[in-house]
Amino acid sequence: MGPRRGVSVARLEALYRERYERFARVAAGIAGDSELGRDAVQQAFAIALRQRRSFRGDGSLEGWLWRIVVNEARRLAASRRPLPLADYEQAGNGHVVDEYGLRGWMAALPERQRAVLFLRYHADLRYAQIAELLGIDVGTVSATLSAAHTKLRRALAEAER
Amino acid sequence: MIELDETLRLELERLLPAVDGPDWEHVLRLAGTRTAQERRRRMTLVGACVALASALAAVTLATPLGAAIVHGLGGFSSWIVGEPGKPAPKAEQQAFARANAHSFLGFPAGTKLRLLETLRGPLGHRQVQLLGFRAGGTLCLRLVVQSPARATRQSCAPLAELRRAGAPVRAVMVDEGFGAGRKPVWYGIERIRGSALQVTAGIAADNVRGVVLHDQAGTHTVPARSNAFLYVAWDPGVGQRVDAISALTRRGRVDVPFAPAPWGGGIGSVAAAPGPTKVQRRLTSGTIRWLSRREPVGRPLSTLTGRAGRSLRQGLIFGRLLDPNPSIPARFAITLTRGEPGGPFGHLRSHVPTVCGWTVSGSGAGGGCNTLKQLFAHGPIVAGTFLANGSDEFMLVSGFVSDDVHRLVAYLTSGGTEPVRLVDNAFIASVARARFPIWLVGYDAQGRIVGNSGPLTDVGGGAGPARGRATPLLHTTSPSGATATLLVGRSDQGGSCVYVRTYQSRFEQGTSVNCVGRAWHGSAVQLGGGGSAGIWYGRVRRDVTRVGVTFGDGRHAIIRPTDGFVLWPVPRSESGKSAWVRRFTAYDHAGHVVGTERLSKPPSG
Repeated sequence: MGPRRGVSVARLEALYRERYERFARVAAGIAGDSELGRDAVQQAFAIALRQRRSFRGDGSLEGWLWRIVVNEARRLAASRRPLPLADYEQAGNGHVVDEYGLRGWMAALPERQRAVLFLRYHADLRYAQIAELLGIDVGTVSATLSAAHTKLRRALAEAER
Repeated sequence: MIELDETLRLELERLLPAVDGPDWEHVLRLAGTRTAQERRRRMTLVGACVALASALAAVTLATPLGAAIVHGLGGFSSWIVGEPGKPAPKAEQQAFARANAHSFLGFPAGTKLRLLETLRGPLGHRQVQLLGFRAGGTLCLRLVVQSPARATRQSCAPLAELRRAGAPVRAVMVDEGFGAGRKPVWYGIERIRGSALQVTAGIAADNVRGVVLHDQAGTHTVPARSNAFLYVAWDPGVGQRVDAISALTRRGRVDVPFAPAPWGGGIGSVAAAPGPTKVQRRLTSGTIRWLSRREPVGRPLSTLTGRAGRSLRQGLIFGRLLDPNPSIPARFAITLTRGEPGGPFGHLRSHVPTVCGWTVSGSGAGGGCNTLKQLFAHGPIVAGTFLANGSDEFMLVSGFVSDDVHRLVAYLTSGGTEPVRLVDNAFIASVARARFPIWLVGYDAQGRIVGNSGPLTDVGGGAGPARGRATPLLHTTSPSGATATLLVGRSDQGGSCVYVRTYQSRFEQGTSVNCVGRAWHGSAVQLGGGGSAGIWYGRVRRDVTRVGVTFGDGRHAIIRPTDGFVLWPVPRSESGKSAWVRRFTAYDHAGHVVGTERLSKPPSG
């Protein structure tokens, strides 16, 4: 017997309510804006609702949803061109709290690498899942996370001096 | 490695701290699917057709009419007679009599306590006893908790409310907490420990077999005995709250109106209150004759002892303690006071005589003052609300009126009106919080409306912090050396909370909290602060990309909000006296003005 096709509205709603914050944070990280992130999640679940009968069930439901959310976040980011996060540092406002100098570094990362960080640390996805979702090599995922660790280790060492 | 991963996770959270709550109905609309509300509307239409066919036989018990029918089947007989349950243990009766004798708000001597219910905790070392008594027109429930230290709590309800409510069950206290919980949980910028146990108790009609309560831990059914019910949540989760109560009667289940215990510090709902808003005879001044003539109405203030008495007598010229509603264990004091520098009312630091109104209950006194000239400048009714404890289901509405008011009526949100007794210009009423907001209307001797109180709202109802720690977003230092940090977290109504910690010196520091729901209300730019720290902060709507600042001397500055938030120190070049902030202007991406906030000139000196 093959995998079961389709997913119920109730199951989608339950997953939405349970994981909303993670979806929204990752989408915001990719889109570079909280509001765009929220829009992406809303749109993604609307798409999932409309296409729920086409879910083949040969992968996890969450993985299927992640793919839609990430695609929506990237689409919205490209269409609306939000302020890049790095600009926050130059705002005529209080300065952004950045204890280890990581915010600026992360904000300046290319969108795809930033997505790797969010998918790893907010979605708790495995390297292979992230690579598949973003259409990149596992090696690129590994290298990005390794660079983040190196950067942070250096920042922590400097903070201790 | 784990520590590095955790630090990275935290930094990513800080990068994008504000996440609104989920909104599934919106997803359904986007997908073109019918929302739950639409489905309900459709079901209602179908239901209406069925009801037409089956006429009166189909009256549901969940409707107010249904509830009234249930009420007709059985009253609160043992409470009316005054002897529900069995006699209280001797030690409890003696402890109650001693406390009662020492309080000027005491119930009549000889008031007998009755034991209604006893529950023991899962391990047997904790015990909750529910006792009750009737004193005149008031029914009171008293909790005695051994957990393991002894603690007592008491809350009362007017008997008239039970007769009027039409519900077979009346909650009197909801989620009353005792002791400290084990595991603290973050709510915004505070770690909250919660309670070791929480108690919900109330009064039940004769025909009620049991009471069903729902909270975050699930649905719980407790028996109704001795015309009362008692539910104890042993080791409740932090923030756990009863959110639904229904009564099990012979005819079925009946939903019971009640007000959930406030949580998270949300302010009262600003929902419109019912009642006539048109004033037929407008008054801009008024008097209290007995106060002007210093007549000895009521009782002398010396009756009051302790801290409450000392507060009331500060700068006292003349004052009296009044008892406008003998069935309520509270009094009202009106005093003529000379405002003193450093006194309790900073805005009245002068030697001008002021009139103060005080609500005095067993838990203390609270009130406010105004100058004689300003007292009735906006109308003849001065009213406020007083809640001794967040778990109380009944709130005191108290205040005073000018001599022009002959009759006072409360208009309740749940429908209907209630006369409010006036004695020596003062009033105190006990109103179920489920009936708020309310609206007091004053009539003169000819029956004309001469004023209203404006809406008096319940506590809670507004947005408060949601579970989870707020994350720092912005930090700044003003030219004067004051520092401020802005943190952002989620609100319990799907929006965000913004916290600003300001530090000027050991003596000048504070935290401001502002929580909102998902929908944006009011101006597109909402900034506050300023003051001696010279730091402005707040939030802007999502479409605002720049905020223009216009100073009193005509100069301008621009702020770029960060993720919808502003924490802006006034630059040294603009911080002179002539450069007070006159206006904030919000601009969208295209440079259009989408909102303004005008500020008045601060008082000199």
